[in-house]
Amino acid sequence: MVEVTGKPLDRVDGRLKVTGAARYSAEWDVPGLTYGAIVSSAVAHGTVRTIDSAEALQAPGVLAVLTHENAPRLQPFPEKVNGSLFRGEGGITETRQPLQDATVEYAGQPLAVVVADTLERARHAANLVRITYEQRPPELTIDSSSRRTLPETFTGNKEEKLQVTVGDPKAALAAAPVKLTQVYESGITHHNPIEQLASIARWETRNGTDFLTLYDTTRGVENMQEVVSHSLSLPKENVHVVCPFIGGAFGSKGWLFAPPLITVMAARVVKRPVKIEWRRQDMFAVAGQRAATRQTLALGATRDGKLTALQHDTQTHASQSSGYTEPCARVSRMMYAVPNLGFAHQLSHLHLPSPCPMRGPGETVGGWALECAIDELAAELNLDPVELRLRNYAEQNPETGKPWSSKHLRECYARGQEMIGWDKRNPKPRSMREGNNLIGYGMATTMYPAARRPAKAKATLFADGRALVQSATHELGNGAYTIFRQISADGLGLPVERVRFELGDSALPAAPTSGGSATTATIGPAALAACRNVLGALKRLAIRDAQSPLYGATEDTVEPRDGRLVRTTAPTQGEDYATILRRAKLPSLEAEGEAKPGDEREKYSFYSFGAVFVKVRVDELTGTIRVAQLCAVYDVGRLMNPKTAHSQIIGGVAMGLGAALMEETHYDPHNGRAVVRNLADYHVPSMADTPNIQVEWLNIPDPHISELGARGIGEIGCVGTPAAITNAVYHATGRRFRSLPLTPDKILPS
Amino acid sequence: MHPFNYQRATSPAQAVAAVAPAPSAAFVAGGTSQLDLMKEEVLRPSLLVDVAALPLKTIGALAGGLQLGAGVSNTAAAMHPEVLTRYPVVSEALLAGASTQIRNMASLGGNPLQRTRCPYFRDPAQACNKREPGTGCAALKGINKVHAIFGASAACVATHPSDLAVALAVLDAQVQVVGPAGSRTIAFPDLHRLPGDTPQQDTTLAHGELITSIDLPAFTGRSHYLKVRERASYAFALVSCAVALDMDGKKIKRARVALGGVAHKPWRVPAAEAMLAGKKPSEKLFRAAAEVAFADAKPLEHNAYKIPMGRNLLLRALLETSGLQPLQGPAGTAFAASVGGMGGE
Amino acid sequence: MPDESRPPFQVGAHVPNCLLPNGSYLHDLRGQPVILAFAPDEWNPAQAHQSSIFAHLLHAFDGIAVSDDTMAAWYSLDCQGPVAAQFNITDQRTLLLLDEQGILRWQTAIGPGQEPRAGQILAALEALRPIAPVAAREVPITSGGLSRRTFLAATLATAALLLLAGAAEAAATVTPPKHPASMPATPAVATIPITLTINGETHRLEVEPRVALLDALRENLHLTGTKKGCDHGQCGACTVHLDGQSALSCLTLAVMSEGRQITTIEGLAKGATLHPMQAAFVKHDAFQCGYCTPGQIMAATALVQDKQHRSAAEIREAMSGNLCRCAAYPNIIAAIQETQTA
Repeated sequence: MVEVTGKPLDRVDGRLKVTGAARYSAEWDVPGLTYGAIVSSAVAHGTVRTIDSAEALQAPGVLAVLTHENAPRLQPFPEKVNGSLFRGEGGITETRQPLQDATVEYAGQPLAVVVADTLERARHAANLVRITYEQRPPELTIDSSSRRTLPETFTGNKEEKLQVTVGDPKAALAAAPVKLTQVYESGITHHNPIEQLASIARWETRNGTDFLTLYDTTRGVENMQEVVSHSLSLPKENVHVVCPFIGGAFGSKGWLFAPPLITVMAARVVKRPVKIEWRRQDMFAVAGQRAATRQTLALGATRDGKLTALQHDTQTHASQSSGYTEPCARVSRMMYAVPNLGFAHQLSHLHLPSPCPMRGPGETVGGWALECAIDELAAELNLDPVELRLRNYAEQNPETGKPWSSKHLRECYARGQEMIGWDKRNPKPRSMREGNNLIGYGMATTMYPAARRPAKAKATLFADGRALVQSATHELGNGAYTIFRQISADGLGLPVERVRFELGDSALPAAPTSGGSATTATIGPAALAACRNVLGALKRLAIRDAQSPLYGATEDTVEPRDGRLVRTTAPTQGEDYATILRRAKLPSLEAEGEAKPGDEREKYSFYSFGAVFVKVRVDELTGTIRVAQLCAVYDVGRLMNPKTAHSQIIGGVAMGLGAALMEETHYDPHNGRAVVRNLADYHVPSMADTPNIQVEWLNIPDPHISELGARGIGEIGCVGTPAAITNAVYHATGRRFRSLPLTPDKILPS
Repeated sequence: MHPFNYQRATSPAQAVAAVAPAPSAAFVAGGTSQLDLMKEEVLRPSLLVDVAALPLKTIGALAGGLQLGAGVSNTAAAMHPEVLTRYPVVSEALLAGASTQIRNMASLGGNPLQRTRCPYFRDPAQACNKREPGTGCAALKGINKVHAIFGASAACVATHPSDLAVALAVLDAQVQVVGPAGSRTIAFPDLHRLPGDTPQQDTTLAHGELITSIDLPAFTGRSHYLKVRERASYAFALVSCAVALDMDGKKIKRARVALGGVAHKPWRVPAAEAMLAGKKPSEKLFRAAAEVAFADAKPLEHNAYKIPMGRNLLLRALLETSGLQPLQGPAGTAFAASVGGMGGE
Repeated sequence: MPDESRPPFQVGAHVPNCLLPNGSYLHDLRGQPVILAFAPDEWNPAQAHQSSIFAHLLHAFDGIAVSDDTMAAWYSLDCQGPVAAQFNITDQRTLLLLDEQGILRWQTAIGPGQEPRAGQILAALEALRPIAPVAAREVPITSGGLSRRTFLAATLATAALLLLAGAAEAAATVTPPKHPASMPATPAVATIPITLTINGETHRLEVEPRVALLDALRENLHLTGTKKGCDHGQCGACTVHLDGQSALSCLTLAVMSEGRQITTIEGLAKGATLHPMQAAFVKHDAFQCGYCTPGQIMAATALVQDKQHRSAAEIREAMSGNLCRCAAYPNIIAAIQETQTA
């Protein structure tokens, strides 16, 4: 049978999605449902002096108002969850448990929830809760913070230190014949998936104990189960988290737990199921964000363009209860062969909402700063930007010295240049014009770490010849239903129509939070292991069955072929899976499988690479920039499904375009409230902004990452794009812009 | 949303009779701006009187001009052949605004009455004299990137968001109104007001007055709309500009110019208009007019960019309207109005 | 290996996934109550008492004119088949009711000589809703099956059904509803009775004037294909057709939608046949997470009604009111281009 992995299969959940039948977390028809609405803090710093629910409680249909004065008590937030550091400096999340005390740490912090019998009544009654505050002045900028730290690691990962020196960058910089030091700044951005955060919590008593079902927009059912059960002192198995479809996440919906916990508490108090769908406005406070950064890049080089020193220092911010640190040196630490390399991260704790990863955490804005600085150096040296990069091509990881698992970046540069017509441009800045527009070409390198994590899966063969493979991973637009069905079909040797993949349920075999572009490399091998194990069990069944043509064979002489088990030496001798099960009077047969990274991680450095080339039009007199052409070439290992991969990549690229040109959330400089708090003011790219992005890939399997040879593709599109656009704007205008996003007000010459 | 009662009006007079006696009653037609603000409880009407089904949905000839019924949808008005050919500035302004869906829903009468996009107005936890008189203006010292550079007061620095209103301001349009005291006609430039000490009042309409039509006088000159925004489509103007030129041979007989996104109302620039009248179009002339138009602009901390942006935009609008430079797309379309065009080749 | 001595599943247990005779999986049906009726697969005149309880139930429900599409939520299964084995049911005529998460909520065995009662099932369904719905809430039993039927109507018909079914009910194991003792009463507020015409069908609702059409669709009628992305007219996810034109249901009051033809994503496909635009979206992978997709498709189908050929730029401009954060835009344009002149 021809393998289906790698084929451009239509999404298997496509029909559900185009008919509106895919069920997202706010859409479960839970009997007796009630509605929660949030009351959030008007101020950014202080304490709640009084909170008066009387009027809200009088309003029609209101069942309860929960505040810190009457909400159920929660355990303190766990230090670590499933191995990741959650708490403390560098920890990944906000550890403030909701509705437990009167402290206010940011505007928009949830302070009460009103539950009523209809959505409209709950929402209106939330406006009737009266809160007075003891206000204190908020600290709202990196420089004004009185609490600054130097986190040691990113999320507790010892492989990812945040303060590093290799060689002597200071001395090397001082001695460098060519030096460049620049400061790059990026604003706060929000993920803004189109599906808002939502949870439905339903409590019931099962066998005399409390049992919670939680439908939540989470891309980490396992972590959610862990945090919720820990917070409520429940056995883990008494919390069931369900999420078969996520309406986009992009880094949100994984690390902030206050929204579901509030829903869970509310349902407990009113003794009825409660749904809370967080408003778009709320999401600018509780859904996470990419923090603003100020990055200082110092490059030292020889006159012929060999880098001798690279120092990348980042100042960024988190909330009072989060130590999440945007790891801006992720690209600088590995991209170029530079003997003296240093980077540092300083974290200011502010009275602003908590940050969390956002597509390409660190890479998107850190890579932007690096790749802009490299472009500036190329101009300084009068070298082609591609040529400068080739002169500093890293043959192994400059920080660790490990060889790459697989790297074909040179091919990406070459093909990208062809696609955009790089040689046809006039390399002189501000030399190309069409009508009102200056024309510019720019490029940047992109990368993404190719992570892999442990996971489990289960495979079940049914007596009618179908099969089911399950793992508690997630479908967030990544094509998980589709590609894991493809992989499982090949693992079982069955046609893809007869295999089905299930996910999004904490009752399924354990899988990590879907993120870090690691899902394919993590779940794919686990699914294959489960498939192998269930086929092994099936073989054992057959070779012990006197009626089977395989009777008496050994396991290693039997193999799956086209939905049948056959003798390797005599493939005509065999039978299909269903026959074996039926004769054994088994409706089904199942087996678990587990897969995890091994010592290859000690030997190799795992990264994906790519090159992005952009043509822009800059209407300088009005400050408007449009991306005319965007060509990108990626080395991401083997593709599981070119159709879904293409979509995922262009989606990442478009998000990078948004970060470059239009996305920014402002907070009021005095009171700390979000001034941009809706999708009219927060501009995500519209169809009119998005060119027909041309994407190619090398499709060279990574020989070391896993048997599938696939590295992740979820984030690499977003990385690189902002720098390519910024560099193209320089080429168009001859002016350097070092502050994201490149909105018209910044581009207009004053 | 605050609870409210709902009625369907049976006639304009009945609608007025229903709204006039109740100070917190309001008309609703398309609802696109109102419901948005009602969900935030920025608006809290006690009664909504639905005028969407009233027979105000026709576009007809009127003394050489056009009468646009207040109930006509933005889409229907923008695509109407007479509007497209004779008043392209109207079609361009409408089509460069909002989205297809919103244009299908929104009425012509409601469009000029939409409330400001000032984010401080829309967040009930912020100080805003327009929303809650006497609470102050947080935008004045806050993030005021999208705020006014003309005609603002210490009480309010908001701008008016309607694109259509900017176009109507250069056409000598007249607004027909029925109200508790009978019907009257308002010259379009008098419909909106400056904030002064009473920014809660956007317009000169009295409570209970209902717009029944917008009348466009005869116009045989050239007209055009240009809009700069932070996204290629579906975004409010940072600065926009409407121009109407009556020509006399090769000379400009009369020029009308209005700016959007810069003031509490569509901002006519009489000094620039006067400078253009009777002159032959030239880049030099237009540059001088653009200079004059912004001479008394008063920027805030974050919106000084609107001055060069507005000058450049006005210059370009004049060049394109007069034919010295080509339009960036077919007249009467969003492509003509959208500065910068779209992503892609 | 199944344990022969394992008892049937207990009420409150998660039931295993299994394949249903129509080729779908039981877990596909999560999100709606499901009734499983186990009986011998074939009718055997010699064993009249073992005749299909499913057929009987069909007959019983026919008495209250439940429409044909009701049956999507019902499954007739062989009580000797593999699904029965997974449920540890052997040769026994059994009715099971699963709730929206696939938890067994009620089961009853139909002994020899007994007939199942539709009323039993309705009572069990009612027990799934422990709190009487407020008047505004029209409660569909399923989204895929009984969506056209209101649960209210079904409950009212219960008495008639009991008569229809004849003799006293067999001992049912319906769990009585549990009301928290301290539940405050819901004071009456002004609601307006309205009739909405959605996808050609008439729905009667009692709603407060402040209920947006979007919330009436999603919360009251459980037509959740129309999505809420911002609730303020800034994303397009809630796009429906009003009298054939695209419109935002979040900025439309339900009371203002009376008398208009409302079309939602649920109304596009003709049975199993997708609308050409839906098929083109699948073909061109014009979505990823799928959340903005119904709104995109409603906007796109409204756009192409005039059969005009639009350039990519014209499509971009016309569709910019539908944000897609996954940015499937180039693929959406391809899908529309393929469909627009077809």
